Amino acid sequence: MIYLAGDAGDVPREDSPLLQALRRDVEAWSAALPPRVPVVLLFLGDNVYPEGVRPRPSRSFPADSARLAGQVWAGSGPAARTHGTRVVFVPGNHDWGNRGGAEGRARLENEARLLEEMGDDGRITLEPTPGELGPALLDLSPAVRIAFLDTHAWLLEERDAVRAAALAELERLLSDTHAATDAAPLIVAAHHPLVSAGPHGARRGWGPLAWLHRAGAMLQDLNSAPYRELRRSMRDVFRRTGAPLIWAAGHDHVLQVHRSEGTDLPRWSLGSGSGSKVSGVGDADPDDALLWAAGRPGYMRVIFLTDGGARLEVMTRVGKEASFVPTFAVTMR
Amino acid sequence: MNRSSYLRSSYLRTLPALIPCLALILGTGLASPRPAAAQTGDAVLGGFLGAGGGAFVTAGLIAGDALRGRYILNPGDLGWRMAPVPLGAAVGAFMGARNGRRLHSSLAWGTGGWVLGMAGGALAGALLEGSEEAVWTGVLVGGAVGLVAGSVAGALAWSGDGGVDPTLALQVAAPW
Repeated sequence: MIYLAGDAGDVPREDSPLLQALRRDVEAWSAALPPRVPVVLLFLGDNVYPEGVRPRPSRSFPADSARLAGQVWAGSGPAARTHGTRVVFVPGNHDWGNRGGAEGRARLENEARLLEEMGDDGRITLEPTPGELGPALLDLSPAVRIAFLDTHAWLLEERDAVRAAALAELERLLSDTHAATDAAPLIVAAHHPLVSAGPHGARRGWGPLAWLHRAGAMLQDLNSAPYRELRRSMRDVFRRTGAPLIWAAGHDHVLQVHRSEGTDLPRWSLGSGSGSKVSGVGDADPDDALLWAAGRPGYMRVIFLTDGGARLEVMTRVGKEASFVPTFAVTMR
Repeated sequence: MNRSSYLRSSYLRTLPALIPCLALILGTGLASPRPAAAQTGDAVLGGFLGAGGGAFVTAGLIAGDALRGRYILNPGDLGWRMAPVPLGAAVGAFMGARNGRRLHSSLAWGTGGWVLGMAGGALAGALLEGSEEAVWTGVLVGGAVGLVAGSVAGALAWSGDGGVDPTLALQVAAPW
């Protein structure tokens, strides 16, 4: 059982119906499932707005830590702790303070340190290790394996050798997955999506800012040169070794489900980035195989079935009710 | 550094460009020979359009930097690239206050240069690389270059009698 929530770091838990609903959901499933069945709550980056966790003496530190603590709280109820439910955070560009180098890495290290303090004996972690591109592997075989990438570090990385090494490791994981007949499916969890119908992916609007987006001049857009290189590299690896079952990401503040039949994209690309902010859905590239999208608060849950398949449910809030209900569901094979 | 600190440092970096502009504005206010109503109208027009043109030039600078692999990661990174906005506003307001017809000449030539620059830049992007991103980068960079070149040429070209004025005398009046 895997929960996917992204970009949830803009409000503390008292102001977040989503975090409250997520906690109820995680508690219910953690209580219902036996301990041998893993339950994982993934936060897909931008865990602390606006600029990550600032240094402890800073006046902003209490607000930053409250934003992170709310997400930790969602996965730390009594049943979740008893079950051993894992809570894993992936870094996003805001967790780096929207900067690079030593300064950005320091923000990420602050976040990792804070999670360690909130801790619970390693049940709650930031993956991969600050500053590394990944993949960092969480092996929950025979149910699933999850490979974590820091795609913001990837976009900023100028050394070809470092990127090549990370790609080689991901390629090895994928090869192992596809070589063995009984291997657990591989999920890649990262902040940046490979395809998107959200504002970072779709072309919308008019005026100089919209033109900057169209020119690929904004690093965080899917059409910037470093981002295109990231996408191209991943697709090349997938063509050689086979693609992962799922690429789960946030970044765009929409909920979106893409399903690809090709060999160069994951079978399922899931965008769950409306944890605390919401954007509109634009026109997706026809090649991106968009199945469903919505610009509203929500999260996703992937239930792995005993027959080897999985069921995806997208949970969104309907009207002004506090509860989140399944709005879209599909069986994933 | 938080967002407000970054914005503060960004503004501080544009200060050297702002100082002469502020001086020009002060001089304008104290020594304009034109009737107040016409002066105000053209000053507002010049300031508004100058700021808008400056914003486009800023976009061109950002696109040009991206071509070289340098990206704006947060608002604080904008730094000196923001200077065209206050600079354009100040120069436009000054020109409008001092000589409305020179302003109109600058606006006309600037608009022509902007359009031609965007078209030329788009063509260059299409021919050199062909991607949509290259075309739009050409639009922004070419448009910025054309806008600045046209605006300056238009200001210099106006001489009051319809002919070409080879020199532009900027009279700065100060209270002392």
